[in-house]
Amino acid sequence: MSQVNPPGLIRKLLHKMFPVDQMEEIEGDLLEDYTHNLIQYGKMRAGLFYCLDVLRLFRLYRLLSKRKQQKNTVMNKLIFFHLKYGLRSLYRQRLYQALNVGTLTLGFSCFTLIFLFVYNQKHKDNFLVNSEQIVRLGYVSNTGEHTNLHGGMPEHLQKDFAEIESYTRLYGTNMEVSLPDDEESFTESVVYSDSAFINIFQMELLQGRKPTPGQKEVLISERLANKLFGHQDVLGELLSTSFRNRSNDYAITGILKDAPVNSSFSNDLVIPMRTDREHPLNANSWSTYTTYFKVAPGTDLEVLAGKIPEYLTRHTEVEPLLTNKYLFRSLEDIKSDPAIGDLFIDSVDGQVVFIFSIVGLVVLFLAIANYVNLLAALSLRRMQEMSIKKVMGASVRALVVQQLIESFIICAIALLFSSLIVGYLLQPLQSYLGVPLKFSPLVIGLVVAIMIIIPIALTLLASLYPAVLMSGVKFHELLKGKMSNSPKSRFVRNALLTVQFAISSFLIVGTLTFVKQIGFIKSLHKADEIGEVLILKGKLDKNDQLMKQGLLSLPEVDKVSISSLAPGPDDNSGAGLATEDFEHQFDLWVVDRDFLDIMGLEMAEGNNFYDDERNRSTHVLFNEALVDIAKENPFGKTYKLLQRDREVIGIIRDFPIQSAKLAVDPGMFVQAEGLKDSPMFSNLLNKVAIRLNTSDYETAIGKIEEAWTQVYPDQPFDIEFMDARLDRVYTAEYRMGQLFSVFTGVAILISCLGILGLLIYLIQVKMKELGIRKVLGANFFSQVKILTINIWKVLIISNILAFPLSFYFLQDWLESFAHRTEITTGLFAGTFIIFCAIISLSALWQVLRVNKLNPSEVLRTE
Amino acid sequence: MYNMKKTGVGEFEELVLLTICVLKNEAYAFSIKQEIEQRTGRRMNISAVHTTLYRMEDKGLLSSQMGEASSIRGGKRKRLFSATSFGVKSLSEIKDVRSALWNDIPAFVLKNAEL
Repeated sequence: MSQVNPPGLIRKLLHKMFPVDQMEEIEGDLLEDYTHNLIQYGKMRAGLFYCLDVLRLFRLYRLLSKRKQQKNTVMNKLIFFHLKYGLRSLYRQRLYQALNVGTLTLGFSCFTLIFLFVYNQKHKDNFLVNSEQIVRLGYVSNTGEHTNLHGGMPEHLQKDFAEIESYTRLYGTNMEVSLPDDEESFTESVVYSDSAFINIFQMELLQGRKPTPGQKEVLISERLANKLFGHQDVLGELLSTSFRNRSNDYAITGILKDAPVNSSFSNDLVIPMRTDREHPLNANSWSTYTTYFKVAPGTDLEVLAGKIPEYLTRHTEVEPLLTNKYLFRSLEDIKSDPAIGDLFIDSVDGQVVFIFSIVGLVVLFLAIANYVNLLAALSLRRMQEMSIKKVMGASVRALVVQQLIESFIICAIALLFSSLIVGYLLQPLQSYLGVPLKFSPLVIGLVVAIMIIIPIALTLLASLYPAVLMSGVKFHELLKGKMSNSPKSRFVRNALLTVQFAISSFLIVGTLTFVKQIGFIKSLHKADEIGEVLILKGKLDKNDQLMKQGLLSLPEVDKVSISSLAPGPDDNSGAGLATEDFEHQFDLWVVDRDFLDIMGLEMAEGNNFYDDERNRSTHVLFNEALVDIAKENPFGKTYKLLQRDREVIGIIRDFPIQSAKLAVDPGMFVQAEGLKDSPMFSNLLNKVAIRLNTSDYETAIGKIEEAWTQVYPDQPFDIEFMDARLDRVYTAEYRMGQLFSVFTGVAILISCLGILGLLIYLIQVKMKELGIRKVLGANFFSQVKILTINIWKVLIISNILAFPLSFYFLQDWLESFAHRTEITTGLFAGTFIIFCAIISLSALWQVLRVNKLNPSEVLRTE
Repeated sequence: MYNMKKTGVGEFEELVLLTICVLKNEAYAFSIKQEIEQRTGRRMNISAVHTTLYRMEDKGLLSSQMGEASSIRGGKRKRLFSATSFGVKSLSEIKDVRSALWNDIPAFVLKNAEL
């Protein structure tokens, strides 16, 4: 029979399909079958059968290829081989790798948390369209920047300037909100505003209508409606707000959509402002609220602000209106600078955000640097293993892949741990910072993406260095035993360590400076002396002397002072007083004779109020800041202020009334009798300062409460210690300080781990040398010297680098305080000593380990 | 590699295995196919035979070696299969089960079938 040929294309397919060893018999069988079919069924059908058979052989292909794999697994599953090998080597070096995982976990967690914080800050209010059109007008006077405009200005400006589209006056505050006839109340933020408010800040009215100005009507957010009523069908319902025991009932006319999670303001309760009052520009009529404008697109704010003084000269003769400089602030500025913040926008210090982002990056960098260093050190240990692999024919690629996979495993573990930590810490951190770390779906997506990208990038970055370092080595030299670490790699390692140390010492100096500044602030407030003073708050009205006598009759009470102020967060001065004798306005405080003593204040000049017949109700005291703005030395002079001639009998040394960040405001101190006939100020007295002569606070406070409820049965008993009160002023600083110390702790910990890793490596390399030295009689200290000399050198270099930089940055930070401590050399010395102690401690462990080694054990094995 | 526990022998596998035993030294894919076709009168695919053969080899029921080439095969050698003792044992087990079943069939059932 002549040779027959089945369809060629199918034959080719058959060739492609099968490995050569089974190919032969199958092809033979198929051909034989084809020949047979050709005779029996004819060419067409035989070809078809052949074709179908070949296609059906796919099943066979699977069967046979499985057979093939079983024969040589390692070659086919190289990636699994690497994985397995990587896990083994991780296990073998579990101590070092645990260090690695630890540092990376710390680094990742800190970074993620900070990232969330910064991201939330950066994306505040991004739902506002054209937010650059929303601006606030304020003015700068001698006393600084203020936002309380003249009451008539917004209206006039809008009428006469084409650039201004609309305006809203705003006053944000917290109030007790409750349902009428309901005991339970909630503290909620309330915004007083004009009707343009919801347009300017782009809120959506879901139901109802805008409230009518002057009526007792209110808008409520969905959230608050749900909280108060449990449902959203609340149009026409009543709710009542109370503030300082004054309560008002409002009818709900509309429901607002909740402000987005990332908004820096609240719209829970919007109450219209009165619009019926006239504010002629020519009258002295200062408001207490801030005013936001919506300007036309593309308006040059500076030019617009420049037009205002000229406009005002045409309409008014009121002195302060004309001398003030006007200034527009964008929403962006207000958000990021609490110094110019107001009661409406929630601002977070841009500087703090900046510092945090730097710290986050720094911590991440520390972790990575450490990781790279440790990994490089570890790789050098594996030189011989690598060399043998390479000699046996492993390609450079295979070696690099091996390293990459090991790094990847470590990163993945660290990432897992840090996501657990972040998940665990998120909630406490939110409530601690007071800044919500809100998640929008976008943020979650971003975080997940970063979580995936970081390990990949880091793996590449961190392991390429040791990987390339390794694979480029001349292996035959290594195998011959020339285990020298190349100068280049040593340089890289030392450089990384230097930067690490520099960062750590910067953080330590920062923390120390912080602690010092806080201490300085405390001494400024005389916190040690007056910390135990009790401050009782309430409306004292005309019964103040009754109260004072009642308290003084208690045996536990040493001294009592009734005043309008106690240094702390929530004191408002009576009013801005001004006469021609002073450069600008100043504050008025009501105190009594005992106030100075209780608050630990000193006189710079003259006398305190007299306690005998010399006392006159017209006597006043000035503080030094007021002396500074007086046109001539006021001591002993008489001024006509508040309808009476007042004689200055003493000058009080400056003391901070509010935060030490602010300069002391000039103030005049009068006695309550001096104002008795001036009805405007009759309600000023609201603080009782009590100094106890016992340390049994509980009984004392109990008795004080009894005395209080006797005199003021219908007022709540609100008492606190002076130091708690002062702490409230500095909550932000304290929190930042604590967070900063946490990050410093993390950074130091990472550095410690770095030192530890490096030492372990050094010991590994120098083991024999140390053994020989020991045999020859080296003592403990010379061993320590050999091991740590390099670290000391690096420490000194890094401090030389870090100190000038930290001086610069810290000086910058301190300048945000009007009262500040100085950066002394002591701080730097302290840092250096702390660092030395840290290094010594982490070195000690390893060095002691070496010291215990028996040299014969090291030297015996070769 | 050979999983001894998995002795499940399918109907077609049993048929192929029996045929291999019948064909003695001449059992390769094509001859097995021919033999079965002749005996059963059913057409079958050479690829089905192939798959079964290699699977049974994996199970340890068969062993194989290469045989001689011929011109009708385009000069390709055949793979000659023979039943291993495990294979033969499996077959006889199956036969035992079947004949036990046959013996237990009541006589009238068989009578009915003959009608």
